[in-house]
Amino acid sequence: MPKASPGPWNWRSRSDGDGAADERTDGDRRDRAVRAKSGIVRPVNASPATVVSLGARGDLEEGSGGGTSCNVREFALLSDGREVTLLDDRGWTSTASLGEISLTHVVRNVYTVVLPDDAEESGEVHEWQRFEQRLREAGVAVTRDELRALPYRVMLSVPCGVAQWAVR
Amino acid sequence: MKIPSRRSRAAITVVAAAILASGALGGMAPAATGDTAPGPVPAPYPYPGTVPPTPPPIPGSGGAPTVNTCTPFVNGDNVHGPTSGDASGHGWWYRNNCTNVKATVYIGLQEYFSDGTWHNQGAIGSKYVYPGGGSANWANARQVCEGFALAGWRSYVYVTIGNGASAYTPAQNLNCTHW
Repeated sequence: MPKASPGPWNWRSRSDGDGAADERTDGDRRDRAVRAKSGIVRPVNASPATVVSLGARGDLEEGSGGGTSCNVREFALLSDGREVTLLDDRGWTSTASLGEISLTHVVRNVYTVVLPDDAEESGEVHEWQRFEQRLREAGVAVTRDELRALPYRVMLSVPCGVAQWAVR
Repeated sequence: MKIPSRRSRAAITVVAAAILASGALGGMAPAATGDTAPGPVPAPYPYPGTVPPTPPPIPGSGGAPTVNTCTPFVNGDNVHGPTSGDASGHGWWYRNNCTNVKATVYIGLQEYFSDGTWHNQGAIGSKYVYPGGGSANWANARQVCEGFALAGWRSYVYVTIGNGASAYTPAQNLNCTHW
């Protein structure tokens, strides 16, 4: 299931920030109190969220036997600030140690492990169908072509002490 | 196969002995002796006995050592699925100090069984590829899921160029079983 962080900033009580607080009548205040008790909130901005960008987050760690391992999670960043997980079952292991692995090697590995299994035949570089499905489940309608046109970035978290990286 | 050092030979001997003793690489469960036959189960974390797996041996001579004997880096992705009803894994390599030529990458899948051993699953995949990964330069291994209960999966990957290199990928518990 996609994990979407809540975006409370997109949802406010209707009577908050309406610019007419001074003109409120007692009736308005009573309505507000009733709504507050019942927990009813209404969206200020009802326009649907859109996907702003796609990306992969890689968490590097020292692997068993002295190599390097990395868990990879792909995500979509939405216009309302939410982040939807698109794929989280990928990762890689290399015999190169953290001390000898290059940044290029790491980034290429991230791009390799997010490839679809049928990438050789399809030529696709991401699991677009799964992305569409995950986003639809999160309430975002988007087409494969729209996803293809989005910027894609790779973010890495690196264990302490591996700051000597240079792009090789 | 060119054996780089006495230490490596010793490690390979130990692994081979362990494999023979457990039957883990045979891909066969031990013969039933009246007890319940072992079956696929989730792999405990981090690993049984908390001992990290020793890199698998590099069988066969495969690629001949280059003029300057080198040590490549081998890579594998976490076994994943079942996207289309299969458990799937890939292997690829990087040059390190080897030349930029093609080499054969092998990958095999293993499933964790309740008897505490890893069983080979599916055919070993291999491909003669350039270093660098990507779909044009990876070897793939697959196994059809017969059931969708949780079970532990991992792969072993090796490349035969120069001194060769091999690795196990970390165990992943997937909703995929194969007996």
